[in-house]
Amino acid sequence: MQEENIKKAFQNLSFSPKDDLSFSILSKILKKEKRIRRIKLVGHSLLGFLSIVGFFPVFKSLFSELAKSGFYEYFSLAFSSGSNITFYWKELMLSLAESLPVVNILFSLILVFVFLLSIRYMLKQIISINHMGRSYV
Amino acid sequence: MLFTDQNDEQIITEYLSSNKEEVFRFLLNKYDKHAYNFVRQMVVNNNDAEDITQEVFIKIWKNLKKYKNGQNFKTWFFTIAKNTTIDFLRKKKSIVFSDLESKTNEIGEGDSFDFSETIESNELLPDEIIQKIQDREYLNKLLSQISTIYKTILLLHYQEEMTFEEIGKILDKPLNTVKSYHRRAIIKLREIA
Repeated sequence: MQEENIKKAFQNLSFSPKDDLSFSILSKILKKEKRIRRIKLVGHSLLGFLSIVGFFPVFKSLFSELAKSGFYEYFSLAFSSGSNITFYWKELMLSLAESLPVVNILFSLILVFVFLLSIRYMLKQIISINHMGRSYV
Repeated sequence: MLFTDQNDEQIITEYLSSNKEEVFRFLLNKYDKHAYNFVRQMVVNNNDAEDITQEVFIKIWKNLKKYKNGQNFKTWFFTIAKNTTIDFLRKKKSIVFSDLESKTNEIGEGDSFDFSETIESNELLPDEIIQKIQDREYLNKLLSQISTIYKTILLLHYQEEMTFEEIGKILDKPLNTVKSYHRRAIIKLREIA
């Protein structure tokens, strides 16, 4: 009973915030979230741009390695003198595989992957920014 | 209303998976008055209390991913509110928690003082004082004269109806220390009332 009376006294003491406090909090959070999304958008755009710039030397190097290793020659064999291909297709496949510049291909694939990923995240940020503008406030 | 049948943990899980603002808005509407009231009792000024409450919710929003499932949300929430308020008071160079804790010995007059002997087990405050503290202004005046840590414990226990164990988690103190502080707070109230 005593405890209940003390509780009652303390609960009478409560202070209430202004009616617009939750609105102000949501607006502040919206601003912060928009800022974070914009920073992420810039970051991903930069990454996308850098991966496009990276395409030139990486693909140039890939094609020159393919030319040096004789890949094109082996590859063109696949479309000539059909009777020989049927006998030696295993050897041809092996030669093709051996002539592949694995490191260059790997770099190219990583770059393509980074580019696609940056596009995905860029779109995600753009959609989020537009969505926030409509729904938060 | 939406989410009313869900507990805080489920609401947070829902927000983290959907990122829908109405879910966060529900959580905000549920706790904004509690947060504001708690902060306002500590800082006195309305504008400061609003700023700190905003800061509290921004921290909650930023750290929701760090909230562990199974943890008591109310405890976690008030820990953030308490820490944000202390940071504010430190910045303003007002009295801080750590300074106040050293003052807690002033009543004890020695380490061996047994507080449990000071208060009869069934009576926290005499009826006369209980009658007097029903007056809002009077209780407010009394609370302004006691240290922040005592005030925090009284407010969390009697206003927010939290257990001493929950309060211990918020203040990062063992259960017995919280109980001891609570007794000291009551003794202090009796002295100054």
